Amino acid sequence: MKSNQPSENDKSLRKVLSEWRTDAALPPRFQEQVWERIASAEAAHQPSLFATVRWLAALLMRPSVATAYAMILLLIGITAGCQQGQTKSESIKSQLQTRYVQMVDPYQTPRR
Amino acid sequence: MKRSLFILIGGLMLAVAGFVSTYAFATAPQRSAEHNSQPELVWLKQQYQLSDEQYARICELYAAYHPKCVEMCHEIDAQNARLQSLLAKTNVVTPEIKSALADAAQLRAKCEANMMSHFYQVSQVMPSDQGKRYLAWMQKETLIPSPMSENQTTTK
Repeated sequence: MKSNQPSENDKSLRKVLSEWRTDAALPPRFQEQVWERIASAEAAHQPSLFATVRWLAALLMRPSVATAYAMILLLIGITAGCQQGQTKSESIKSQLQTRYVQMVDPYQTPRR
Repeated sequence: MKRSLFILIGGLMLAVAGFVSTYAFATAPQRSAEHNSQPELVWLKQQYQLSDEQYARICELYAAYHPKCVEMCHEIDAQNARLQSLLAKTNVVTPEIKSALADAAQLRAKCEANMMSHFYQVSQVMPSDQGKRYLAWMQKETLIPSPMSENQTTTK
């Protein structure tokens, strides 16, 4: 990788540079404008939201990706349904169990 | 772009369909029990793997036991009311209170004997191992007092 630093051996160039003088004045707000240009150039390289959506849309058009996407969502749905169903089922069982005991034991029957 | 949107929504719908179908499958027995007039007895049938005949017999036994149970409830309520009124009148244990406490104990013994009789009848209808399991569970739930917690034993 090349270095931006002037070579130690390039003495003649260093000499010329050290002797070089200019009287030209910098334009107003020169430094600020330079930073603005750097910022806009960097922003142009960043992907926009629309570009990301387009990229994702293009990705979904690929059959393998679309199949994997559908399978993953189906699996998530089945797993969540199974877990929720088991929780609900256990809760109903527990309620019915308590109610059965209350139904046959006069000491546990809820009073009005 | 349109086709991608279709795939996106289709995937989400697939997830919802997967959720709904497995949820419905997992809760089907309990939901069917809840739609019955006596869901507690349907639960008993499912829990102790009873046949339709055994379930029908247990329904009959319960129908015969239910009026006795209601009568016992009334007796317990009347007994409790009597004891409460006696306790409210004094701050010492009077002979009437002693008598009421003895009556309450006698009533409890009568109720428990009735309950046990019903439990034995029900357990005899069940397959042998399930009947034993049912009896052990009912005794634990109704007759055997729960052990005192550490908090109860130390708060004296």
